[in-house]
Amino acid sequence: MARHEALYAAIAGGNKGAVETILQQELATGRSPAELLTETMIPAMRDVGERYSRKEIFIPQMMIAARAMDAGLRILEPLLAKSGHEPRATICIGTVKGDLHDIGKNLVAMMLKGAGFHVIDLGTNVDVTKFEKAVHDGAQAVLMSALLTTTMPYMKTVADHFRGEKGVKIIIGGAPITQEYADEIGAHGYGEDAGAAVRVVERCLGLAG
Amino acid sequence: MIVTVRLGGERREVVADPGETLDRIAARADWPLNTVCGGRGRCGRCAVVLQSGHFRGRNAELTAEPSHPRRALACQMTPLEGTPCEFEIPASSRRIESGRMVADCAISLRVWKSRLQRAPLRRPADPLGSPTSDVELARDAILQYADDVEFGIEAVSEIAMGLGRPDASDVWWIERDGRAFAGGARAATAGQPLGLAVDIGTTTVVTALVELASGRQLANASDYNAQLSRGADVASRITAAETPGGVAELQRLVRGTINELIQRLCVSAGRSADDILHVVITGNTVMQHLALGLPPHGIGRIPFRPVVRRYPLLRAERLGLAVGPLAWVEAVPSLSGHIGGDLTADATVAGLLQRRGRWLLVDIGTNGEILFWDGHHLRCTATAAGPAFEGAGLSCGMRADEGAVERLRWRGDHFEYETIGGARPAGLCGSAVVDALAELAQAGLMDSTGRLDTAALDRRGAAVVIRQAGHPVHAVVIAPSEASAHGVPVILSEADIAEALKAKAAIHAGIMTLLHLAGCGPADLDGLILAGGFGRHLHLRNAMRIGLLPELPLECIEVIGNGALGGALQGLGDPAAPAEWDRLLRVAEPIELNLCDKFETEFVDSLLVPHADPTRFARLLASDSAPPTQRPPSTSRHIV
Repeated sequence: MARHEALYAAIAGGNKGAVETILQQELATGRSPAELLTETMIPAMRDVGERYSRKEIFIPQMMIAARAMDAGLRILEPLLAKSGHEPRATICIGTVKGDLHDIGKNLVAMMLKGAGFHVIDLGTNVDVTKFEKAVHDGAQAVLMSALLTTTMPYMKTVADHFRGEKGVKIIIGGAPITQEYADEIGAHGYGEDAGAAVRVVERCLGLAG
Repeated sequence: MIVTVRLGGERREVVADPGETLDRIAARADWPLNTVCGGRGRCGRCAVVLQSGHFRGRNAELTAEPSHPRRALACQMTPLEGTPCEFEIPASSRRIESGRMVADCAISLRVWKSRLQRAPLRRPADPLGSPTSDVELARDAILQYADDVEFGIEAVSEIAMGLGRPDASDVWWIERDGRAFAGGARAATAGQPLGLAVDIGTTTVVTALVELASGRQLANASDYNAQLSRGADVASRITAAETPGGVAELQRLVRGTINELIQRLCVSAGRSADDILHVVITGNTVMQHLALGLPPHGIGRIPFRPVVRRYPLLRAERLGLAVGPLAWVEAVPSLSGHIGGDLTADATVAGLLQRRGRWLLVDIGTNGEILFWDGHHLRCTATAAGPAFEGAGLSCGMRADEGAVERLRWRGDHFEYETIGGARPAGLCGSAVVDALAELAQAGLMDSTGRLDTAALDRRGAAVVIRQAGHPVHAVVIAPSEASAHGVPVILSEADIAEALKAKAAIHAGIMTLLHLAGCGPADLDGLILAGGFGRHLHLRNAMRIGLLPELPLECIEVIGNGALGGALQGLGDPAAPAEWDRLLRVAEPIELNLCDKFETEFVDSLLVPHADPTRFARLLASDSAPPTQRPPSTSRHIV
């Protein structure tokens, strides 16, 4: 199946209503949800991320597109689960303890879902115990966000906790975070922004882009 | 090497060390720049125009020639040996007081009644008769005017010394809730007692000096907060405060700024700082804590709890303020860790709790603070708008200063603009950014997500492509290079538009979330009070057309200007003010937006122009075919 141009354009342009309408129509005619996802929706979202990195679009446009993607995924997810469709990998994500900032972290979570990952979203004010449980439930990477210089030191606490646990990748991001800080606390990856987040997760987990 | 620095018509030559950045070179030329972010290339306020020579930036080398001047951030540029380097400082990038650093508040107090009072100390005719101590002598004098009086040790010793001096004829005190707090003794021949109002912002400190008896404002002065060297935002100040000795250091820095302003105020008013006997401080909660030397750590993380909301009365001496050593210093109570005394002051001066019906009060700065009063509850919140509306962080942004474009209209193929002071355009201040978005959207040259129609703009000669971090970014020309102040075009890029959209979405989503929590919508509002310097010069209709403010009849919007300073002044001249502060404290219900389900959806919806649901702005959009009407800018009335 070739990509569905109207669906692709609706996601890239952030037209949530159109995404929902097209998906309902296509599913009614018997189209495979897995195909719609992998042939059209994931490439559309990847294009959004790439255009963001090239500064062709900016946070507002990416956020609007991510929300359209999210609306589409809500329709597809139950069907995908039923058909036994496997996600590329499972990751968990949360804003660290002490910090309630949600929106940036949610955008990263949506971009990762849009790239075909299974995302365990732990919300905000997340402590080591919650990250630990998500890893126990199968998360291969721990993604942490902090928006405040006052809360970012907790990232080190989490990174220290998982050091030595084989296979768990620590990836961090957020406005005050830098590559230097990621190196300092021994994180495996640093995502400069929501576009870069998908690439760094793919790199850390050894997945082809 | 020698670098030539130009400002206005003047040139200065500076011997620069290798690797020295242009902001340091400018400082050597005695023209320090606005390195508000501490020279980290973040705030965009130190822009200069490179006229000739080779320069090294963060990522690349640049060559400028008089025929091809280049705009660059001084803090990110170093001159390279080998060519004569010359650059020009736009007036807007100098670190000087701005005429518009908003000390103006549009609300005037109806009645001025100084909270500092004095009464003659009568020495008893018969020295052996009652009263039995000096302090009781003073107390008897004060109790003629107040129900109760409190003497601290400073007042006691001052009165003891004062009574020993033949010229100490008066006792003075300030009144709070019917109670007198004795200040000291004073000669009747001493200068008129003065009051000082201080609004400590994260970026700017604004002050006013007032004659207490008459309420006459003698002088205003403002400057950047010296704490800027320790970070641009509140969170980074908290981090700085957490280092050893950090609180004392930050307190020292802001005290330096305030003391310098006091000196300027007194020189311009021709008064002595020793006559300042009552100081009212307002500002955000972190700034207030640091000014009083209190650790703000708790505000930096959940549960965002300050040390104190109702600050104790202090002597100036203890804080090291360069005013009368016994002056009483009062800080306006903070409503929460995120909502400071500046909002308490706004609400007091606007008489928010006295209003019937449902009222919003919105103060737009780097943070947007929003209060919603429905007659029973005062819901309040803060939302991170970012500095775009203060003209920072945009390619051609500047603060509201001479040469800033402040009004814009699209005339079919170009922008028509007005600048502050009628000067040649040097950059855009916040109100112009709002106008640009509204006009571009209405002309169909920008879509609802903030993308420019570059083909259509190009046909009109108004499109330009700039480079940002090596990538081309589309932009619209506001003023072409030949018309501009520095020979480089004033532009608004798609990246700038995105910043403005995030800012307007944060404010609008904050407003809508508070209304939603109260179970109502914009149509249920009786009015909206807009505070802050940005709001003072905003084209209100355009603010609604882009979805910054909810759609309301224009007559329902009141613009009050710097209500924080106005409220601090009120603290000097309205005996009812402290009771009102306490009432606000009692009814305030702080809301954490990040914990509200609706907020994020509303934020993303609000990123669109005007909104994902344009029917919310239906009346406005329908009437856009008719020529817009705007109230003439109201003349500013100072509090007297």
